[in-house]
Amino acid sequence: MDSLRFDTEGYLKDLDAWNENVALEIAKQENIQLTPAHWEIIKLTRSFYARHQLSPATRALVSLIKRELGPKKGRSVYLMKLFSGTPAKIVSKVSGLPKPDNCI
Amino acid sequence: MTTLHTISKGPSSKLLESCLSIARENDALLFIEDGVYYSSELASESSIPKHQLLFTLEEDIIARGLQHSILNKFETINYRKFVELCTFHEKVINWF
Amino acid sequence: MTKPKKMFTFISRQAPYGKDRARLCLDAALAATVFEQKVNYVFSDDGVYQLLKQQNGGSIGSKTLGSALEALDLYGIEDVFVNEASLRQRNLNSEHLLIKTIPVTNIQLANLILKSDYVINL
Repeated sequence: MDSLRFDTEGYLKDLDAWNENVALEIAKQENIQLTPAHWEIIKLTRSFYARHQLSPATRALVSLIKRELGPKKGRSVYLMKLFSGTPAKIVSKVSGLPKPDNCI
Repeated sequence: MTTLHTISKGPSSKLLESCLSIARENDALLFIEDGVYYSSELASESSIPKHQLLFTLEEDIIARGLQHSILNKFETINYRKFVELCTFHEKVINWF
Repeated sequence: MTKPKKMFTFISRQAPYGKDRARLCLDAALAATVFEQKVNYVFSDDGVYQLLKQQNGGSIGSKTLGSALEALDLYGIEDVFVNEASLRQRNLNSEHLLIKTIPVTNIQLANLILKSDYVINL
């Protein structure tokens, strides 16, 4: 963890430095205990980034989850429960991706 | 419903062509900044529309020393009239 | 009570990699979706080059704009238009394009602008 570099808001600087242990560590800083439900979202977010070179805003994340994991999970309340605050920001942070641009 | 289009680059930008392809008959065109070169170029006269109202901004004209070469089709206006035009038209689209 | 939605139309007219305006236009449109407004996206003039298949910005150290455009639908931007005259002038047709777009004539484009509350022309 010491060798990892973060920006001032706590986002990982080097995308390639991410692994599951790094995610656990970042999640700890955010007071989140990662469960399979979290990992599922993290995996999806990372695949979105790999495909679109874009950290998803909440709206895109919700549509993506709806498409890939079904309408039960594809709702912002579900995301809020897992990643409180502004879910899109926290998800990107834990997933080792840049802060999403278009988030409020 | 009419739109005011402002054009702020000269003829080499081809902005006028782009603008005219979607401007409607009763829209107004205002040439500002380097766009004022359109209002002095005879070469652009042939492409200039028949129906639209054409305006060009006095301050930008004077700055560039074009005051004696403005084509007749253009009405030279000041900033005050610029503001009036903006409020008169329902929409303003900037071409830059 | 929720306010009625406003209609935003973004017109992207520049080629993707030489300048950053194409990217800027996309970012602005994605930002507009956050406010739950109706957002239309139009590719016109050299902007149609943003839609070419098989682009890879990585070759010049850039992000690939086309990849981001493929996410438009996930952001709720479903009405994506392309100026068919601009395609024709550049010897392009829908088969060259990365995403599904609705071809429009200049007249249809003029009408779309008329219907819109805000037009952002980049």
